[in-house]
Amino acid sequence: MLISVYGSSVFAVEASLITIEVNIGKGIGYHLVGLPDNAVKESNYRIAAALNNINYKLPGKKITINMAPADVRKEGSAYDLPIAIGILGASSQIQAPELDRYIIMGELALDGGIRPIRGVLPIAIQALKMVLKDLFFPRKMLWRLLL
Amino acid sequence: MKDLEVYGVSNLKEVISFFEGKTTLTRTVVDTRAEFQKQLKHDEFDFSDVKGQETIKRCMEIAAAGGHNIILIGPPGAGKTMLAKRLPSILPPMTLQEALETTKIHSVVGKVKDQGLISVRPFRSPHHTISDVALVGGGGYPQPGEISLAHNGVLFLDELPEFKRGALEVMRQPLEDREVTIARAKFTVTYPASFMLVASMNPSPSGYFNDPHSKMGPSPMEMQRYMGKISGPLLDRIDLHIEVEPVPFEQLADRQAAESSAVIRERVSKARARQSERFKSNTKTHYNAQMTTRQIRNYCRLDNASSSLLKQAMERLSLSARAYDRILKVARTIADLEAAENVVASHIAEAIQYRSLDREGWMG
Repeated sequence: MLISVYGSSVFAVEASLITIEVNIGKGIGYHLVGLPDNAVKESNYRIAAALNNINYKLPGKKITINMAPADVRKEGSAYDLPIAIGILGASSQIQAPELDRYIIMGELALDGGIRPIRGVLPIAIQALKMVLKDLFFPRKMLWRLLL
Repeated sequence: MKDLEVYGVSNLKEVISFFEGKTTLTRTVVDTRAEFQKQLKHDEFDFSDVKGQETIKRCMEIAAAGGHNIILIGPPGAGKTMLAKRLPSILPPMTLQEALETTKIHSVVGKVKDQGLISVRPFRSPHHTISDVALVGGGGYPQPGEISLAHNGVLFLDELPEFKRGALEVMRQPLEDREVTIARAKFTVTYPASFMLVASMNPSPSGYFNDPHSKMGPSPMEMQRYMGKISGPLLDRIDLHIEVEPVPFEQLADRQAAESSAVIRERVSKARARQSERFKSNTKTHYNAQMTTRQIRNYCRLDNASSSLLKQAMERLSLSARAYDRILKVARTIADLEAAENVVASHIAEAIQYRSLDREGWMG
């Protein structure tokens, strides 16, 4: 099943929308494409452990994750959360019809906790310009996001 | 930011049950204005701690009012660093827009910790071993440097001649343009860098040149080499040059408290308000130091007396065209502090005073 989640990448002080497509099909494998850097590539270990620890699982199928636009470099650990949610949605472990209304960003801890990320303010400002999306952030970051 | 829903989460489980519709999360609602007001506190450094040094305080007041760059020159122990550290306490409060801009940059480097919105003007004082990349920003995936982190605030360079020549020279373009563009083969990044440069230096390697009470004198060669570390173009970009002299004992022991930062800040804020009013239709210029040449011509019209005074000064001190612009900008700020409509000769005269490093023969 194919599912899309939204994230955001920060370049200089401007954020841009990133679509994270997760497809789960027949076979075995984990493919992460769309110019991820090492921190993004490592996310699968964190996601696998985190899902395990809260009694979900990384499905033993062929998981393809595409981060579009595919020619923009994605860096940092903030894509853990959207990818994890995408995997859960695509493998039907959760039923979430409204996923595409949100921008989700966050770094995962192995116990399923969520850690702070960088560049929250530019993302929030950009989201405001696009009007349609709501945001999901680590609570620790949430400090005083201006509303 | 009204229409945005932001949810704070601390656990993956919360996110899952939210999306499945099992639980609801409370939206994090924050009142920026209140937050902003709450944080407009002022630091423990206060100008009332500084005894004497009235001319320098005056100079700092002008610098704060117009956002001018300033360099303090004086022997060790004269109080240069002490004065510079107190500068943020007299800067006018940040506007919400400025606070957002600054917070954005700090957010990108992950430096916003718990304080949320940065509403106190940043004061960055990098050590003089800093590399040019750390100063202006850069790296494979360009990160903002100190000058961008000091956006809308103060960049304090203590012991200016000790900085690497290269590091100082890369600052030249950002000082003019108030932003820095870092180019890579695949992309370019532009970070805002509108900061107030505050520098301090000793006049000579031993530190005692020009000090009337010291017997130690450096050789001309030594002096030449020391001053040569700072290039003319960089000095040209600094509006105010001021010599700091050691405080005599009588003043040091004086128990009477000097003027407090709050009082000075009041005057500075008024002068700044006058500038905001003047440039309100302009998106790029907010205070006098940012004026373009055309704006200078427009807002600093000179009468006959002041223009002949300026002409004389230009010839005598052999000032550059850029120094001419700087003098006009500073004069405009002095006029603003006095709530004067036009720039007059006395303002120009005071502004010329603050170009001491341009004077020929300053080195003796």
